[in-house]
Amino acid sequence: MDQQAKWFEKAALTVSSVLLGILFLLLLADVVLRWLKIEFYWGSEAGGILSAWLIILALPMVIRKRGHLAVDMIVNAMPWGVAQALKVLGGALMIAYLAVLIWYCGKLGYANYLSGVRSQGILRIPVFIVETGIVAGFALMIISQALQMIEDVRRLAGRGEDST
Amino acid sequence: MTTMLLMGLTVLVLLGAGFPIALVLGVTGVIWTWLYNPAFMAGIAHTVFNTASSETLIAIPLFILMGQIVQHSRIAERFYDAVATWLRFLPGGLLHANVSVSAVFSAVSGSSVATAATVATAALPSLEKLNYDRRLSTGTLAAGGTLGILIPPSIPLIVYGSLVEESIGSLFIAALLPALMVVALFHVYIFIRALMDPSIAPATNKPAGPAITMLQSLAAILPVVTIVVVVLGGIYTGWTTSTEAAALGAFMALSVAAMQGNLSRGLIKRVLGETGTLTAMMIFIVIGAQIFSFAVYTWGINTQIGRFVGALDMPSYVILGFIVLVYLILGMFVDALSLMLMTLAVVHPIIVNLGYDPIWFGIVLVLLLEVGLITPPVGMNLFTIKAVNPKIPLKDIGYGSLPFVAIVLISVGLLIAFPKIVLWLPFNM
Repeated sequence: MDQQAKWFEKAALTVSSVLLGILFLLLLADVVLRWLKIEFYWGSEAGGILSAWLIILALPMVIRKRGHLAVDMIVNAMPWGVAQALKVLGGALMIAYLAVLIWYCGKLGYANYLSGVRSQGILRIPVFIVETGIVAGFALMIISQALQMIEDVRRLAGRGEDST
Repeated sequence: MTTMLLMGLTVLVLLGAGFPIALVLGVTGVIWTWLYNPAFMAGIAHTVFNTASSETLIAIPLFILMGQIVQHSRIAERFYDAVATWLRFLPGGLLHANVSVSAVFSAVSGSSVATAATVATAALPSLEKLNYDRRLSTGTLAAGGTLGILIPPSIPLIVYGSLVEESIGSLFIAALLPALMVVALFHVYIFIRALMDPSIAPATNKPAGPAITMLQSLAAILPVVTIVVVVLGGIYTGWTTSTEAAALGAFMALSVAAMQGNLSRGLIKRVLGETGTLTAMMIFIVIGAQIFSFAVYTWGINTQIGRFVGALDMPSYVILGFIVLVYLILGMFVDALSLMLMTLAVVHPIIVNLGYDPIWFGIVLVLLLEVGLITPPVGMNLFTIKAVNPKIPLKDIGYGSLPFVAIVLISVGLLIAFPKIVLWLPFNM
């Protein structure tokens, strides 16, 4: 299960990297084409969509690498067991937070799907497509966070033995 | 006021528990929006979507990409080594290079965090190797990074200009003298500290990196200066937006890396992956901060503060002092851009009513936000340095930044006492 998790986190990051590459080329093309006096109006609009997906798809890897910024001064001064228990609690809170975001973002995405809302701009993309990508990214984050929480719980139960 | 205090307390408790900052701000926003009225929770979904797909924020991954290319292709190391070659004879040696290189990279990255991360990555190995005082070393790097939001292209200044309908060009011009003043004060402080206690920056004639002559060092400086000229020139002449300038800058950085023989498939894969994760980590905090701001707006806390300050029968400088104090306190807990977005609707009318110039206030505000970047518990630059070298205790970086907090505050005082430092250039160019 852990190997599968690592696989999807790497796959998501690879897709995120490709999207970043496309975003870079898109905005570079925007500058060059304007210099050549060729009309290219939708670069920034498409960039916004790509940006949303590349961010969300990279987030599971941030969790895997424990890359989220936190204030560790107080926790570092606590006994190991308390600090580890807080780590587990933080994981549970993150899952709850992401679940709330998925619930409300999903509801909004579904409502926009039903009413056929499209983006304001030249591309006129159905907004639910962008929103579904963001919700899916949050769901992947929950999986990564849950797996990490299991590791933390095992470590807590084993009093410091690395279970991975 | 009670709600504001309780909301602040929620943030403090969750931060103290060591939870991620993005989670702390987001969860606090969710809880307090729910407590106000569960029907308002739908607004959180809009906040998430709008933040994640914001066209303004596209500049962030591209500026980080540019910084990452410069950093991983050894352009940054060569540039740092070159500047260090020129400055190592000064009392304070590499610490001066930290500040000068940060100032130049601020013009390349447009972001405090990216500046701090790039320069720290290039500088920390040398500083550790040469036994520089750890607190002062990390303090100069964290403080140097704050220049990223003052030296153009500054994202907070662009946001400020668009929100209060002031010329972004004028704001960029107005930022020049204060930026030079802050950089000069940083150098003066380092110089004096090194004279008083030479052990903090051990003098050495040997460079930490490969030995290069001053002439050779110019070859390392020139490409970076060219990138700065193109990025800033594009924005100043109005030829590019900041996002396009970032894309152009990233392209130039790639070209320089290719010319220096450092471009490879592995490098591209690495910089894209790291840019993705760094951007995701930052924007997830921005999403949390925006949810937090949503709760603040929902409870009308900003309006309450505005009414409270407006009803005070006091001289303008006392009210200004109060505003400065509020920013300093809030800046300790809320990230720079969110704090600006959260407060400007209230503070800007007060400032105009008091007779202060909005362009002048924009620069003062950015300086106050700079303080927030290097003060715990939510000092982003402190965490950035920590992220670059996790072995360095956060406490050391925090203590090392304190003298620079004082210098930025002195700078704020100078701008209040002598507003012409800000306004002379915009009114005479």
